[in-house]
Amino acid sequence: MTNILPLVVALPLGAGFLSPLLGKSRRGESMAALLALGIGFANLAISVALFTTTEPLVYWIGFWNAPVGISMAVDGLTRLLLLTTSLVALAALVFSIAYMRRFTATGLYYSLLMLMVAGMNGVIVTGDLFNLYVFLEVASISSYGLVAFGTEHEELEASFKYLILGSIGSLFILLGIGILYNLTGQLNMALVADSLAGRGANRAMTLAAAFFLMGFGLKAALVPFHAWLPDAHPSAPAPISAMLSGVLIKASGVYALARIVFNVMGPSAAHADVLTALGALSMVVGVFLAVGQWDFKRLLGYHSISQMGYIVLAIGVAAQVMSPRGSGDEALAGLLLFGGLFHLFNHAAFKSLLFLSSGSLEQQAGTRMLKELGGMRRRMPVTAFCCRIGALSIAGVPPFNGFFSKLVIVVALALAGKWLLAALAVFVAMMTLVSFLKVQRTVLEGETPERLAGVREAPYPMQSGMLILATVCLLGGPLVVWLRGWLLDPAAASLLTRAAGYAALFSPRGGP
Amino acid sequence: MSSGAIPFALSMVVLLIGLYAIIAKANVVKIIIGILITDYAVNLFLVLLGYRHGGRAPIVTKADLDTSGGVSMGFVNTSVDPVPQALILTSIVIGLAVAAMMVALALRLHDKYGTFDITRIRRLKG
Amino acid sequence: MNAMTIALAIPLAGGLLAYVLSRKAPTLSAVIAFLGSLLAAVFVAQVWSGEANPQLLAPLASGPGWLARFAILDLKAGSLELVFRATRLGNLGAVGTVFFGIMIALYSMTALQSHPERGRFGAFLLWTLFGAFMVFWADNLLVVLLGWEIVTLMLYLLVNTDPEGSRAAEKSYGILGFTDVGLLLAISFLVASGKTRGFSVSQSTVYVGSPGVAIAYFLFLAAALAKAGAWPLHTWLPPVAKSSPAAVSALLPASLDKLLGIYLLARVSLDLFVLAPWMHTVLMIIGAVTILSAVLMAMVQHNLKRLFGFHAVSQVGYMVLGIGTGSAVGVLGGLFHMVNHALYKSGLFLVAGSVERHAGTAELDELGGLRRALPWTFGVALITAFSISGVPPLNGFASKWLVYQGALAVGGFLGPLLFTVAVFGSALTLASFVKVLHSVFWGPERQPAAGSAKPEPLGMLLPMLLIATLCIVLGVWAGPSIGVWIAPALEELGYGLESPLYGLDLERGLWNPLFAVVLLAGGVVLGLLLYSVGGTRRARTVDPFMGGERFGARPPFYSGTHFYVTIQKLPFLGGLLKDGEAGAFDPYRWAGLLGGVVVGALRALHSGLLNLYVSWALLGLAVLVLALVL
Repeated sequence: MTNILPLVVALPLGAGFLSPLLGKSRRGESMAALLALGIGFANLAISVALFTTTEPLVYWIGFWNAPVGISMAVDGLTRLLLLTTSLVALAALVFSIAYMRRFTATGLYYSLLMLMVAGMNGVIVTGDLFNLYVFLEVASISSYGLVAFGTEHEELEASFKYLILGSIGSLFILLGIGILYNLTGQLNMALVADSLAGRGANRAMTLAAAFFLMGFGLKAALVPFHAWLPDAHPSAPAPISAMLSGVLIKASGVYALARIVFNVMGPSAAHADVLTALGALSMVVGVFLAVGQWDFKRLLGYHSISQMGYIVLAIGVAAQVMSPRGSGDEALAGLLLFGGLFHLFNHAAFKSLLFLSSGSLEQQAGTRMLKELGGMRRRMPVTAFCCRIGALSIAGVPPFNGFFSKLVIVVALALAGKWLLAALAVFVAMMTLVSFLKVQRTVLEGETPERLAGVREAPYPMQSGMLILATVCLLGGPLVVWLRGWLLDPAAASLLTRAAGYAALFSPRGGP
Repeated sequence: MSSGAIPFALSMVVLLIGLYAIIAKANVVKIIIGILITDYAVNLFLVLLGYRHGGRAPIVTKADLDTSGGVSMGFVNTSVDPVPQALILTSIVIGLAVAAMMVALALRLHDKYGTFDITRIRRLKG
Repeated sequence: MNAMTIALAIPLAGGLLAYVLSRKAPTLSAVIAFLGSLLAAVFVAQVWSGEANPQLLAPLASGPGWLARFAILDLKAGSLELVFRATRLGNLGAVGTVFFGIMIALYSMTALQSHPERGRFGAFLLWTLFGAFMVFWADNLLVVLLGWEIVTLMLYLLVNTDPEGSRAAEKSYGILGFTDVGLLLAISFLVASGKTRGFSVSQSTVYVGSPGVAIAYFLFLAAALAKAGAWPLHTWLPPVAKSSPAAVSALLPASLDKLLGIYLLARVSLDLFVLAPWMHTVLMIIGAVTILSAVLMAMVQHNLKRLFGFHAVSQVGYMVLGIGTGSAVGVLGGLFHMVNHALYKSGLFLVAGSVERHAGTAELDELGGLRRALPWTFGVALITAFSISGVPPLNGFASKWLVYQGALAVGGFLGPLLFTVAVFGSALTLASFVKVLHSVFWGPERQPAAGSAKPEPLGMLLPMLLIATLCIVLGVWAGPSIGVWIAPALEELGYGLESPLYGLDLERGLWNPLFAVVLLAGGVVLGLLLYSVGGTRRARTVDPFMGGERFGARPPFYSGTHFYVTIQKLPFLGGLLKDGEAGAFDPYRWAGLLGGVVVGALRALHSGLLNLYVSWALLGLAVLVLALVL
């Protein structure tokens, strides 16, 4: 089992470099698409295969052991993120087959997409801080390229802004890693955790924490580091928007942040307060900005900020509970983490679904401006069905998955005594609903404008891409008890072990 | 401030200069230069972490081996830390990729907008 | 499997089947909806009778049935588990739900025959029943919430079956969704602060002691009132009534939403919470304001369905007022009025559907003289209109009479005031329905603009007649009806009724419907005698003229709507009504305006300037460093 682990990085990385070599002919581009699709399936298969055991897995690259070697470490959280990523990636790839026909140089598109997947998977599985940074940059740089893929005014502008802000984020992450290295003399996360666990808080560590919170917060598009997201995510081709909003901001933002705060530095009260504040702020500001949008994809982009707020809020309050100043109630922290991670999984599903359906609408109707659409429910039933499922899920309407994760978060916040935050979470859920009611009214319902009378349903690959994710949204709610057992609670448990537990599991002395 | 901290402080000054360029300059090229300066500042910071006053290059020669064939403690105590140097090599390569990307984008932006003035490249807002 | 499980499973599965078939075989979906509700009725009846025969419900009580106790989510302080319990109050709601489900499914098979979305309508109807059963039977607050939100969603989807309904649907979901999430907040608060026993409904009693609990109660109250359509959260209802098919209005805003809203109001106010006295006063005042404000708005309406929508709001006031009194007779009146209102109001909406089908419009100004074309509809309209206006001996009078008694029993200054408002509201209702009856059915017949111009088919007539009959039965035999349907629920809520007539024989007055019917019939007979004897037949008829000038061959047409133009010209009230029509008292509109300001300010900040964005990020970093160091 351990030996297939490097494949989650190696396969897409290889495919990424192979695709451009296949040539620019139609044949070459179809081959590249096929290759990417194959890798997508293989990726999902590997992620599922990792669930055959619940044991933590460690793979040492090149069989060099610590402290020199670089490790790949798998625990519950890694498994959750890998599964989410590969699921969304597969849906996006299936969708791309038909959607990307209108672009040229699709070989390069698949190449960049594969590099992004490799980078994300690398961030998720790596057990080494500097390696995390490298994979983060691989994913980021390929995403800059993908955002600019349309090479029109908006795409280039968005990509440039994203690039500048993204670079600043990466910069501070690297600085933070440097500080931690200076403190501990280690780069392996388990060893760093082990070394930090012994000492109390100090200025250098605090500074590193601030840099990480800012850097990863920027990657996760938390307010006030969010300004790039509403430009970048809508400008990319729809399947890429789905990947960026669905998984990239989670893998390179929330995942990395949670991993470092919980498992490397150990949750302190100050980290927790900052996370909570960032989460609450993002939640509220994001949703207000989203409500005012009339561009479907931009609206979705702002909702990503808002929904990331939920996740970070839940994780932040969990950190508060677990911090030395908190009550230390493991069950409550576990519930909060379960809610946050469930929402992370759900958001990946429904936001990707919404972006894919926006792409389908844009492709078929020629516009993504809400005011120019209407009555699409009758013209494009499958797309409309999927769009509706996504909209109701993100709005937290039962029986879809979003309802259950928001329910858990609100109840858990109340249990933690955070009444105000619970009320805020509920209010934001409502605002999300309001904004998606507008989307449904203007896009799905009402009269069809004359100009769109001839609009037809999207081709089958696009439909299947959407239906994969719609199924997840539909079943995620009723099957929550089952999902929780094998997927979410183990993921929450790996954050609950804190730094000491992580060190014990994965440091070379304690581990394999 | 001890004398050992001065280089660190200087690298931070370089960093601030870069950030200043990014915030205050409207010209796309100057913003790119700002990013590059911050990049160098961080690389400088990293390599300083491994610096040891009067240290030697972390290259093991025959003379550094002790009787059992391992590296002698004398070498370990005098050589600079090799890890940050390895790190910045990677970091420089990444920086290069980012720089190439930025320049390419800047050229395409100029094609489309006909300007390098970032205050006029703002179709996306609200 | 027991009766309750099956009753829940049938609409769920049937809805799924109907939804799958809705595109390919919409007629089949409609039939499935009808058969599904009929089948569900069998099991609901079993649950009801299981009340008398506990053997039927044994698996539920002891808990081995798989659906009886099935934890979905463990939430530390309790869990979201599917646990259901038949209560008398809940059974009353469930019986009403399934009855109206059958009626509307039957009606819509014909009424929506040519509607492109009748298949979806069938599916959503069944799912509505499913959600309502969950609310009525669940013994877990979160399951109640789940069912509650499913019904809200179904209302949204049902209203959206009409392309014109999308705006009304959005507004309804906007208001109802807001109160739905408020419910979630209230539940979380109660459970987290240990005021309830986990999420259990039956084992919890909450004493209103702290402001937090009071807020939680008001959140529950808001959800109940919004669903039922009481002031000030009623503003979604009239637009929905106007722009959705009549069958939808008859199903949700007219009947099921009332059953659900008042059920929750009663459950929460009389069972779950132990209220402070001032809360009762608040409830009664809300009731009184609802009665008066909505009926005044109804008087100036020009659209039949929108007018009915305002009455659907106004009548909720009586229920809230009755339950707010907290006295046995008031609560009895409130619950009885809930049932009666569901009957006559859905009957009225069915009438509106029939009129609209015939004439192609529901605008009062364009209707007239339909008594000849639609005699049966006219009959049903008469009965239901008199019933809603509280004309004895119909059911609307019986329940209003109880509410009046409850209001008087409050005593002090407030009691007589509430009584006056209630009676006045009833009089205005009658006035408004005189206008409706005149505009639609009396006067010279007008040429229908569009529509089928055919008499009502049997499929539509049958449910209308059945409902009208029930309006009479529940009025004339009010005592026995209360004994069978309402009294058990009342006893369960802890109110004993001494009188065998179930409260109709009270110290402040006596109402014997049967005796009254005899007197009324005598009066009518006397009137007819006078009419035939008094020589009125020999009245002289002339062509209409004005100022000596004769009109042409066709007599002029006066729409009944003109009767009430005067109201709009009254000095103070006229202004209020005008503002009301413009949405000046609509919380939805004000929230939208306020939100718009915040949104505008935030959007202006995102000016697209990269330097600005970078400086936010760096400022954020500076704040982070400060926050962490300090």
